[in-house]
Amino acid sequence: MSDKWTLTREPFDALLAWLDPDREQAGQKYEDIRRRLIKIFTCRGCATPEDLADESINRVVRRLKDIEEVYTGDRALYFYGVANKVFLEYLKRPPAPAPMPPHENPDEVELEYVCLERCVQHLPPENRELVIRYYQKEKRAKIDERKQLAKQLGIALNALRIRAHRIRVGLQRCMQECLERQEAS
Amino acid sequence: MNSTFADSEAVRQYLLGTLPQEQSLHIEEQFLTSNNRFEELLIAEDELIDEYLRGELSEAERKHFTDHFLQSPERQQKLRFAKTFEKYIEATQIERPHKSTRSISQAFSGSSILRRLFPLRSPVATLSLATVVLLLLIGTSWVLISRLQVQEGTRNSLVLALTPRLVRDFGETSKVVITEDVHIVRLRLMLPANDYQTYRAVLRSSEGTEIWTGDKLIVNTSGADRYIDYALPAGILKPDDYKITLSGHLTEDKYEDITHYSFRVL
Repeated sequence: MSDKWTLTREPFDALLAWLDPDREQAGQKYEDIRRRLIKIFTCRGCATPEDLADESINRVVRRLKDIEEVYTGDRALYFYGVANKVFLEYLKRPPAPAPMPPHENPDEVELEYVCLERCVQHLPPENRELVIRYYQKEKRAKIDERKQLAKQLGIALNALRIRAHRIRVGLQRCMQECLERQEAS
Repeated sequence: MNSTFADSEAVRQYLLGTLPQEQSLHIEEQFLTSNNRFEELLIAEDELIDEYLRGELSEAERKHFTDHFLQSPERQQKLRFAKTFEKYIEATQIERPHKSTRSISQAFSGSSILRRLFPLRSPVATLSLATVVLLLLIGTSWVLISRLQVQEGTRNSLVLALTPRLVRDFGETSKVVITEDVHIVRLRLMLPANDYQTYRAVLRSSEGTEIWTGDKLIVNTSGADRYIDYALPAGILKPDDYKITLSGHLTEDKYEDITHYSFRVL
């Protein structure tokens, strides 16, 4: 999606002010909305979700003077309405070629493993134990293990699921950073 | 985050691209306005990837997964991570099982190692063969402490457990052959005591060139055993003599040398 209009400082500040009077909160809301729009475009199978999200945001910014006084609902839903229109326009374009599946280089696989192992090592011991126990084993044994783990920690199964996922997300980020450092060196 | 089964199923169908449009629009609004619902979506993504890797998706789901779900580079990256993560968890189950299964000391106990190295049915035959091989090993001054080969697709892991005491006892440097099928060498540095919160291990070649540094290493314990696991890509270990200096973290960037380990790659 090529839109020549680019977001400059002044309209961006206006957008943040519309999202929240507190600039820090506004920045967080902006990041959340952008991230979620990207995810929605991804889930719809779009080839360029970031571009479509940015295009949606740009359109909102351009209409801001007209809507900031009159729009009263959840700001995020306004972005969503615009994103739906952007999506319909996207569908009218010739489909982009499907991305090639990434080639798995054994050296990279090896390095990923080493990086992941280091990242796990750097976890606080209780998180390391939790994430290993949460994801280990198969089927019935896994369910039992999770129940036991939740009981030990005194939390509900869903709370355990969220905790394990957050650790996993942190590990993925850590592994990615480790790989980037290795590439840079 | 109160997710019911119906919610979870709807999210799952949404991810596979099979949820009716009206429901998809409704669910997307929730993702956009609720932090909990958005996190639920991210969790469901990872769980779907795990199910795919474990072969738990139906044929139809598998097709939607590859044709729809996996079209995004971000998800392909997640899949790669999930593969690595699964291998790590599998290896951990083999090498550092949870208390409820078997302990590391059991995994590396004499009988266990013998069974792994000499998988004969008769214990007497196993013991005799082991004795002969052990004498040969000592005679040729090979001190390969343990080799735990973990077949995980393309990756083989070699564990080399090193103890300064053992090296001194034999008066020889531990020697190891790294075959082509080995991709990861895991150095297991046995510790006499655990006096520091974290450790640093610096691996140097015979010329003193720093090959690899492991920082903020944490001690693993199993019964009375204390050790540090330190994984390296096998490719960096060329035939040479290596020395590892282990230091304990004091404050800020200050470390105190504790001990040394050495080994030779043949």
